[in-house]
Amino acid sequence: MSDSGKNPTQIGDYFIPDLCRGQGLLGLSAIAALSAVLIALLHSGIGDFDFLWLGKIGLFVCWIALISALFLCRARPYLTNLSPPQVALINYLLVLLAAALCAVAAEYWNSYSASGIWQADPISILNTVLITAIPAGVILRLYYLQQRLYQQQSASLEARLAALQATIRPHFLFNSMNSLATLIRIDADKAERIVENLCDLFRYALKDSKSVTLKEEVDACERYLEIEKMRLDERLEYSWDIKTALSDIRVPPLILQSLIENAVFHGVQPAIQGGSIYIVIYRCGDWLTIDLVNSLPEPTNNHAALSEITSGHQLALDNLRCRLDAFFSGGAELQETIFKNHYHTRILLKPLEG
Amino acid sequence: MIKVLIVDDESLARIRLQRLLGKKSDIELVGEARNGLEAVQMAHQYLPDIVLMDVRMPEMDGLEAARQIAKMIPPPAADFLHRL
Repeated sequence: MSDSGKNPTQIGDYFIPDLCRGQGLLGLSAIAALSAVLIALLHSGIGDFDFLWLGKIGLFVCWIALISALFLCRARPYLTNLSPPQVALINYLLVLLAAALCAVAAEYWNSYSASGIWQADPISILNTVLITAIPAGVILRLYYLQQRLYQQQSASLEARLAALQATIRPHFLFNSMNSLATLIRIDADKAERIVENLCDLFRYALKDSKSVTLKEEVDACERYLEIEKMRLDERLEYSWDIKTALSDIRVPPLILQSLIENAVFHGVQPAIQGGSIYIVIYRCGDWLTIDLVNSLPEPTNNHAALSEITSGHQLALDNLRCRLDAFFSGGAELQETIFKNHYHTRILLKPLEG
Repeated sequence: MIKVLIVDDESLARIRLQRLLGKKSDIELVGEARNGLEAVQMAHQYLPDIVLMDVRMPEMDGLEAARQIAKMIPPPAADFLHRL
């Protein structure tokens, strides 16, 4: 697109292709040429095809197409903020105007070259405008559908990207590998344990299933925490308090893991003394509650680092909220509060049994 | 002898660096810091030739610590550990 940069989203909604540029113009010229052939065929049929007439009508149609392209190209910067129906209407009228101008010019020229008098037949002009109106409408509709298809494709691409992002941070893998590199020499048993845990965890994360039981999710989180505990040692304290059966509750994979990962990444790791994570799961009537409480690092003076932490955390929470909404279709909530230098996150959900 | 200060918040990473540096006979490990603030203090205390540092650390990150260490006269060479 030619004039991108200022407001890309609105340009993205604008469905008329850029007719100031080669590709759009070439497409339009091809349509014009084909229309001319169609008109010539209707006029004389294939039997006594009139090439002279095709030349004349071709020239005429191309003039209409080129002048329309000029109008649409010039109008483009002024129309980007309008709604699609308004854009369609204005562009349609511009094409009809181009057709009318061409018809007037042709009429005057024909009458002058035939009889030496400047005059135009209004019926004939109206005829041209009407003949233009139908294909012009079809072409604008085509442009609109093409743009819609493009938008749908990019939306589904974004959705798939979001789904891909719901995975464990790659940084975690690198950290674990570094822990391994040390432990292999000094504590082979621990190194072995890390490899087993990593295996289980990545098998789980790469399983590509839409839903898992909460039991599987909690097990995976335990693996995750065990690995992080070996890396952070006494800097990470965690405990579980599970007060309900987990194996009959289905959840999207990695929902709790992503919260725990956030807690380690933003709450424990940046704190000089480390921190703690406490997870409670219980039922309250119809609702299942997953509470996660983690300590926060001492307030730092490094504002850049702080805002990076909050924005990264917020992004992860928004992502999680979307996934919960999609899975439980509204029957789930994600709440967060800060109290006494602790971060409290709560997932409330109405379990889908099975 | 080249005096080296290592800085990393993870003990496993420090142990590994110790081991790797221990293989070199001309290197003397003068200290181990667990964050940027300790790194700056230890750099002033031990005057190392080289500071090997992690980037992401609690309290003060590696970049800020390197900035402060670079103000020393003469400044030690500071290098970041790009682990894996």
